[in-house]
Amino acid sequence: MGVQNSYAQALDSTIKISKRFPENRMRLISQDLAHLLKMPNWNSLSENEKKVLEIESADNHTVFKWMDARIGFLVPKENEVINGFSYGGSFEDYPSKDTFPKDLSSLFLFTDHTARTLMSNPSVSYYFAGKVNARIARVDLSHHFDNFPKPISIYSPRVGIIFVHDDFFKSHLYISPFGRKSADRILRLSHLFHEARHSDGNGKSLGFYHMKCPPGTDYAGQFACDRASNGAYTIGSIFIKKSLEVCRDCTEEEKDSLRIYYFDSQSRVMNKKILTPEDVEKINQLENQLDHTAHQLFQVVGENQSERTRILEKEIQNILSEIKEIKAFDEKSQAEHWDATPEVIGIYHE
Amino acid sequence: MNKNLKLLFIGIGCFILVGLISFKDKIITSKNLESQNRQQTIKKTTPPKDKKSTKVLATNKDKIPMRKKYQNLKEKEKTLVVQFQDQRDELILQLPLVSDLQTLKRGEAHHITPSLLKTGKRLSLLKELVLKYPKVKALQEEADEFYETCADDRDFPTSIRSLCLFSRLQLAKNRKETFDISPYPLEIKQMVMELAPSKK
Repeated sequence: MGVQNSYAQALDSTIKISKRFPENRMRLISQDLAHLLKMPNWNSLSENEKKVLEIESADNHTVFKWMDARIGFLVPKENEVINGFSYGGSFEDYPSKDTFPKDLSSLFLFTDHTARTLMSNPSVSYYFAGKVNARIARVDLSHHFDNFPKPISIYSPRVGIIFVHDDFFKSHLYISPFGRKSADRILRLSHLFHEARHSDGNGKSLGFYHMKCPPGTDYAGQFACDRASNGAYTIGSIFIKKSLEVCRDCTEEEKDSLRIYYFDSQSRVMNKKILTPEDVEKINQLENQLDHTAHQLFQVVGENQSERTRILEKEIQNILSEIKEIKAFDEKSQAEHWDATPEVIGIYHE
Repeated sequence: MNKNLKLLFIGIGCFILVGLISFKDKIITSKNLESQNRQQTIKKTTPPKDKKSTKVLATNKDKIPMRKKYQNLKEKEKTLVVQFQDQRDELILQLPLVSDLQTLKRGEAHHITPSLLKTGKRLSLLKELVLKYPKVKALQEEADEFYETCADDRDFPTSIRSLCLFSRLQLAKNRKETFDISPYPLEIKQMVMELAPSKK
């Protein structure tokens, strides 16, 4: 607890770190958070970055406060927390009570203890369960924090409970040999920024849930993409990009590790045309047709059938154009900007 | 009788000794050949860990023609090229593919995988060697070709292709050259330009 107290006093933060973390892990998290305040201020924000983060200033205190407002508790991912979920009293008056996210599957990922997510934000899932059942969701964190005799009410996803998986601390995620350099801390902090975004949103945008990655993308079939242009992957990548710009002690090798993380996060934001299953089927058909036509073309090559060759070549060009059109980047299909205003039960107090 | 037997044994012993000495070289040579053959067999039969990309990238770069191509190089330059080729070939076998990402277990895809993170480091180590010797043309050509092919290979995840294109731009900048990125996919170009070396 000594580590947590000194950290909290030094940073004036509301983020609480579970006492069930081994001391060395608690210290690592505390040092990471402290590092955020020690980093040089980011260079000025672009208009888009201001729009996404909804902040005007790029100083590190503002950035820290952004995260602090969205994360309340860091706890190791253990069954006790998941089993400590319960319902309190009835509550009918949830904000946007008839509006729900379109695709709920990814919300369950946050509380699924079998899923090997490095970090997850189950607050939104708990809050959502309360909203659907018109009751107040509660979570017992008394094993994790002193002076928490009762379960806490999930009055908003902004309660910000973050599960941290064992894998988060493993050396396979280290960039430098001991995982203590700026690049390592930037990497871990970007995960926190990512999770912080899941505390935002209302109605359809509640929790900034992830979508299933469409066919034709790297993570096709996985719940690991964002339809929102201001979702968790964008937040994480902005943090990486801005930190890279000001990291004075990052080596080129460490920067490349952060760059690949940036590219990975950005590539999950679906700001291109999303291929429907019909699109994929059509592309397959066209590619088969292309093979067939090309085969025919090879058969007539050298047989002095210039007219036939010309027709086949034209046909191939048409098929290629058609495929290109289906796959084309569509400027009009930019990812959507979602409303980040959080849902909060304003009148419920225990 | 005993004396005759002794002489007979000595005679046979000498014959064997002479035989052994005269065949010694042949035995050693054949052992070497056997060992070489075994190594070649291992090389031939070890599949490239089901990496289609390995085939794509490595077929154009078979080592024997490469050595012929650079046979007029100075010894140090040759060493650098061979060092690059060795590192590159080792790296190619370790690069994750799109198919690897699509078969991750539940939850593992939520954040970056350790294998992708390691790829950043490995690509960087390769680049370090090339950035250090901007005047060794053969090395620069080898590297350019590798990064361009990597950025173009659809079997690799977008993140790896983007880092390859980014590195290609860095090499050009290091040699005070320009590099046309227009043929690459828009989504990759956009991401790379966000972190573009020229912006630094």
